[in-house]
Amino acid sequence: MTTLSRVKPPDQEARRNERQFVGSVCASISHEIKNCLAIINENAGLMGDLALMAGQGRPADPERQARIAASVQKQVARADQLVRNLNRFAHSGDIENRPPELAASIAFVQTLFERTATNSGHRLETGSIATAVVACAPLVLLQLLWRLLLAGVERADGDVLTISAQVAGPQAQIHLQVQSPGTEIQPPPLPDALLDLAHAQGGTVEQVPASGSLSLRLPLKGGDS
Amino acid sequence: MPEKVLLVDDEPDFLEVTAERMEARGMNVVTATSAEEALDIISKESFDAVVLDFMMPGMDGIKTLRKLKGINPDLQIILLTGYATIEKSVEAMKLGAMDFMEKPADIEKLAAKIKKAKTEKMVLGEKRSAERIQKILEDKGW
Repeated sequence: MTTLSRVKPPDQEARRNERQFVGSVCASISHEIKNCLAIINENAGLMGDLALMAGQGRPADPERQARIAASVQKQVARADQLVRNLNRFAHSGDIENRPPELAASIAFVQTLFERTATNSGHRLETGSIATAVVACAPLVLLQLLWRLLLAGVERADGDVLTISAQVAGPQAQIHLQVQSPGTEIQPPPLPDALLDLAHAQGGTVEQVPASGSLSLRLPLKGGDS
Repeated sequence: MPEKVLLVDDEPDFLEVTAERMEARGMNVVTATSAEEALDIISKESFDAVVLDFMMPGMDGIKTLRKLKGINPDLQIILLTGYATIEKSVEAMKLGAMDFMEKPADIEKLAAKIKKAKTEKMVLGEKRSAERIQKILEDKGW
């Protein structure tokens, strides 16, 4: 197992990385909302088309109208959940002094990352997740987990990425199991943005070269490290 | 003759309703829910226009566009996207996309672009025929 770390980056770089992370999450959510709006827009258009046809003497089809209404309701519920996620994400920056619970943060990042994973042909699965509170700001933990998943997607050969977490002494250990292309292919280097941010929190990122799997260690709240 | 369109999007609800509305406007619509399916269909059938979602699982719009053009360089492709950036538009046009529309799209504007695509395809077809005839004339020395 190789432990990799870098010296602390300048604050400017850390801020740029955080902006880039926030931008990526917002772009992904807004894209999904646009997809919902596109379907609602098409259904509204179809209602208009059908109304026009009814005006020209074609009999109305109540079953078709009910299906249109159901489709719109489905998209409204989907968009509502997306906006809730966006709102929760936006407020994660407001509660800097409240150390985040690991399981809830992992579940939330999985939700936020779902589209990125799907677009790159991957599926996220969850292993066992220990109950733990991590000694960093909520937005920082979200960024670390997001970047861990991104690094996993970049090196994954298979389509499934499994995330699990356990407590090891004074640290939380978040493990991302990735199917690698094999030992003969060198995995790409870990991204500086992930290494730097983990280091700044007193943590480390490790990778098992043979499997390409990643492990993020972070100090627990009230831990000794 | 109706315009024959391949509509590609990973959202089945969007495909179903949009295809129905396009058909109500006299178009003949075939749908695909993935880039791979679209590539397979394009290799077997001819279309006046392809309306392609820019962001789909497995293969992004630019890569899909490149592959579609690789199969048929004369394909008229209209890209649909959730967010239209200038950079992406320029990249898509450079790769040979005919046009670029942001979601939610106005079906009448989309229909107008599809009609334009059909005309462009016919012009390209005539140009190719003229080139073939010219080549035959030159080869035979008439």
